Amino acid sequence: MWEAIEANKRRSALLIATLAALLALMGMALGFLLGGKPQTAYFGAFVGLCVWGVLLLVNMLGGESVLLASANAREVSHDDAPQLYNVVEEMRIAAALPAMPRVFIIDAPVPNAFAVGLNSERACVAVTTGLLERLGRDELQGVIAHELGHISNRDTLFMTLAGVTLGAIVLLADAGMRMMFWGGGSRRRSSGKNGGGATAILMIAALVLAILAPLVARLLYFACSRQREFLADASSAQYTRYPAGLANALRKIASQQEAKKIPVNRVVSPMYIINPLAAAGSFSVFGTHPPTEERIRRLLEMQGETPPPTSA
Amino acid sequence: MAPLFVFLGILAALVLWFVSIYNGLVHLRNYVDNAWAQIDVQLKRRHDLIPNLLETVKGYMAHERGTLEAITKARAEAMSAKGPAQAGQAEAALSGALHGLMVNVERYPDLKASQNFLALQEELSSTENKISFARQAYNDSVTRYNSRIQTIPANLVAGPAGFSKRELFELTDAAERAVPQVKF
Repeated sequence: MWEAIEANKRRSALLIATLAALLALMGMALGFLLGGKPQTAYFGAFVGLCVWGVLLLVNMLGGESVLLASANAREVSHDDAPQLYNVVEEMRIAAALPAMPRVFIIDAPVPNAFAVGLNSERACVAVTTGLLERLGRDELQGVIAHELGHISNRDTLFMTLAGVTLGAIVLLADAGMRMMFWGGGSRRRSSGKNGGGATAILMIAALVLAILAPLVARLLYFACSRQREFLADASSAQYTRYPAGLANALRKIASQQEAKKIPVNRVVSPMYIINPLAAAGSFSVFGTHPPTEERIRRLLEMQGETPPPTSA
Repeated sequence: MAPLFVFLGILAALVLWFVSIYNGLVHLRNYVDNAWAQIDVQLKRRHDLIPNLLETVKGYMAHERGTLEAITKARAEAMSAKGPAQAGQAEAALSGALHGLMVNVERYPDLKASQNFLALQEELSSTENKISFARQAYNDSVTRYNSRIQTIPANLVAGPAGFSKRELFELTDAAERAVPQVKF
C-alpha cells in the first residue's frame, strides 16, 4: 500500500514533467508556425509558460472556494449534520490526517461527493444531499474514506497541477489554431521570404505537433486520473477495513447518475467519487474514472472470501 | 592526493545516506507517537460524553440503577488508571458496561424514540468507532515503522541509532473483542 503510494507519486511527477514539456513544445511549435522564425519559437514557449503561470495562480489562490461556490456547496458544522460530520472525523482519524477537513453539503438529488484542497490542512469534503439520503452509514463511510484517500495521496495537488497544465495546452492549441485561420496570409508571406524546403518540413512538423500535443496530453492526464481512482479505492479499503461498504455505495451511486445535474468544473471532475460528466458505466480512454464495474470487482477482491452483504 | 578526495567523497556520501535514513526513521517514529496520542484523545472524549448520556437515560431507566452505577464506576476507574496496561483494562471494562446499557435500552421504547437519546447514541457509537479507528491507525503506523527498521537498508541505521521495535495494540479482553459495531 505505502509502496503503491510512493510509486504513484513518482509517476505523477513524471506525468507533470511530461505535460510541462509538451506545453513548452506546443508553445514553440505555435510560435514557429505563426512567426516563421526560430526566435518566435522561443517567444511561443514563453507565452505558454505565462498562460500556465496565470492559470496556476488562479487555481492556487481561490481554488477551493471557487470550486465549492460553483457547486453551490454550504459548509456544515457538527450540529448541522452530526452523522456526516462524525463519519468524516472517523475517517480522518483512520487516515491519520493532521487536521479535520471542512465539511460541505450540496443540495442536489444526484448522489455524488468530492474532495478539494491542495494539502491536508486545506482539505474540504463535499457531499450531495442525494448521497446522504441514499447511503447507509457503512456506505457513506466508504465514500468519505475514498475522498480522504485522494487528499492523503496528494491527488488533489497533483491533479490540479496536471489539470492546469492540460488546460494551458488546450487553451494554447485553441488560440493558435484560430490565429492561423485569420493570420494565415501573413504567415505564408514570411515563410515565402525565408524559402527553402527545410523550413517547409519544419512547418509541417510543427503543425503536426500542435495538433497532436493536446491529444497526447489528454490521454496522459486521463490515464493518470484513472490510476489514482483505483488507489483512492484501495485507501478507502485500508481506512474502513470494509471494502464492501464502498462497493455497495458505488453500485447505488452509479445506478442513480443523471449526468450534468450538478454544475461541475472540469478540473475537479477527477475528484468526484464517480465522474459526474460521463454517462454511467461508460469507459473510454478519455475518461477520468475507471468503469464502476471494474472498481467494484477490485474492491470485492480485497474483501476476500466474504460474500458481498446486502446493504442496510 | 586523488585517493584522499575519493575517500572523502565516499565518506560524505555515507554520512548523507545515514542522515536521510535516520531522518526518515524519526518521521515514522513521530507518526507512531502521534497515532498513540490520538487514541487517548478519543478515550478522553468518551469519558466526557458519559455524564451527558447518563443524565438523559436516568429518567427513563430508573430500574436499571445497577447498570448506570457500573458505568459511572468504570468511567471513574478508567479516568484514574495509571499506565497503559491498567488503562487498557479499565477502558475495556467501560466498553463492556456501555455495551450492557445499549442492550438494555431495547426494553425502553420511549427512551429509544427520544430525539435527545438518538443524538447521544450517534455520538457514543461514533466515539467508539473513533477509538477503534485511532487504534487501527496506530497499528498501521507501527507496522510501517517496524517493517522499516527491520528491513535493509534502514536496519543498518536503526540498530546503532537506537530505534527499537514498537508493540502493536492488541485487545486483551475477550469481551471487548466481542463488542459488535452499532448498527443503523
